[in-house]
Amino acid sequence: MRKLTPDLLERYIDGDLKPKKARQVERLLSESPDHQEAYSELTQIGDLLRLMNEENLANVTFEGFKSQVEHQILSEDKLPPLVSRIGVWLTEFLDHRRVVWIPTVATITALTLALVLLPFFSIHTASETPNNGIQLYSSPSPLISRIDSVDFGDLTGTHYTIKDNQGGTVGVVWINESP
Amino acid sequence: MKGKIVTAVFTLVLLVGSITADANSATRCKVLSIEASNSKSGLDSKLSQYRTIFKKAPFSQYDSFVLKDSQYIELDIQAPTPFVLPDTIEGSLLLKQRKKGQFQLTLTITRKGQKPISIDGFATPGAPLFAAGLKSPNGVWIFGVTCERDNDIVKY
Repeated sequence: MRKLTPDLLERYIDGDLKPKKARQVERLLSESPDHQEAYSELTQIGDLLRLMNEENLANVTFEGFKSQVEHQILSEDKLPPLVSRIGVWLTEFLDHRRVVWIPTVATITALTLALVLLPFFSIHTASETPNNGIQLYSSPSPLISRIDSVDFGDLTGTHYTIKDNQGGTVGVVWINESP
Repeated sequence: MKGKIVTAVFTLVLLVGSITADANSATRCKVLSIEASNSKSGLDSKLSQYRTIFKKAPFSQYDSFVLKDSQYIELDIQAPTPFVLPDTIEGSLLLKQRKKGQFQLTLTITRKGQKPISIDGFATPGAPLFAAGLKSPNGVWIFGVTCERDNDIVKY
């Protein structure tokens, strides 16, 4: 190494050179007054830069840093509004739980329809309204009884249809039994 | 979530079970044994609901009606159920079907030593079937049959 470049000199000052290279730099510095002068200038500039950094660091303040950090943490802990949370939950449920909610909704709908339509097909429902001792039923069919056929066996007879005062009819079989 | 599903399924099972139970409920029938006569004792207070009917023919030939016996029998569809009537008479009731509030019945009455008398007809709650005319000690027997489902409310 015959020439000491500024880059090499800076690396020497920073301590970045290997020992062998550093010894060569020191030999060149001892042989040339110009190199010594350059070395001296660079070390002075380095000292000035270090002083400036130390002054800047001394002026740094941490006032308000703690409160800013606390404010940020608290703002992150606050929950979103209830409507928003329900919306998110509902969306995720409908998207990912179709196996559960589709059959459930279908079953509930079918049962609701069945319950709504049941009264139209039911036999009758009872009413507790007294009617001179005869029960009343909220039935679509009138209060009737009737005789379709009679086998009198050894005897004879006939059958009647009697109207009551409620507008209904009563079927009566009259058997003629000899004394 | 799993708990909610179990609750929903349990509710559905109860609902379906109650509907099924209602569909399979037994039919309860009441058999009245009334003696009609001309003893001038009038109408038994327990039979006041039939006052209008007993004033009409063929009952109008009698002036007295006394309730001698009242019994309930439980019927299953297509299962003949025997019962005992007064004066050595036996009865049997068959519920063929329930349809639109009507009970399709076969009432069989047998006097001991005689052929059965078989009556097919329909009855609705509040409108009984009557079979009358068999001789009683003081006049004639009137047998009335009225039915309702077991879970229905009946007031007499």
